[in-house]
Amino acid sequence: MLEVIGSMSFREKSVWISTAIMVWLWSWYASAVIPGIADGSITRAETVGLFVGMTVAVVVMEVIAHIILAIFSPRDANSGEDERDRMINRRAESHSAWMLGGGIITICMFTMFQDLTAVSVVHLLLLLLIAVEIATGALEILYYRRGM
Amino acid sequence: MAAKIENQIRRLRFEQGEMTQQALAEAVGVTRQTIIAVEKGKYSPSLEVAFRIARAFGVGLEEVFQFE
Repeated sequence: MLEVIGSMSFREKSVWISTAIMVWLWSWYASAVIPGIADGSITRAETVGLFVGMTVAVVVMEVIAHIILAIFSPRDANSGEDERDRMINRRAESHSAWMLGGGIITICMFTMFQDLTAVSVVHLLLLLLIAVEIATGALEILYYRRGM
Repeated sequence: MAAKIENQIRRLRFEQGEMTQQALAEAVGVTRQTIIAVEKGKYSPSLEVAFRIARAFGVGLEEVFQFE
């Protein structure tokens, strides 16, 4: 286990942390807030407040997690990204861009045939962006672990 | 997955008085983890980094990397 962690660059550890935080917080948001929007028990103003609150929570948790990570591995934190980190990031983003495009087309088609409110469409688009971000992180982790 | 490129980095580090992966990484200008990945064949470096690795050992490129 320690050998695996030792083989991770700061950038890879950062991706693990960011992806884990996003999966944890946004899956809670999706399970707790989306049903409330669907049945009308959560108002539009509350939805905006919850979304902004979640975004702030993700940012704060990421900052704290990265500070702790940098304290425990200062040399790796100072070494920055290298060509392998950049290549893995580019490859993951190029694949998730397809997911983003496909998701937008799907939402557009869905919106044409369903009577969706503007708030619902906005939520679908925001959830798509979050899903794409999580997918990018998952792909980066895959490329780091499997090799490329 | 890395292609059919093999390398002799582990042997060359040994021959350089057990040069550490960190020392090689600093000489080349990449992270230690990238040297680990290259050494294990999990990452094929750019031509520039490949030349830098060879220069760090004071040998030619083909003594470090072999295309199978």
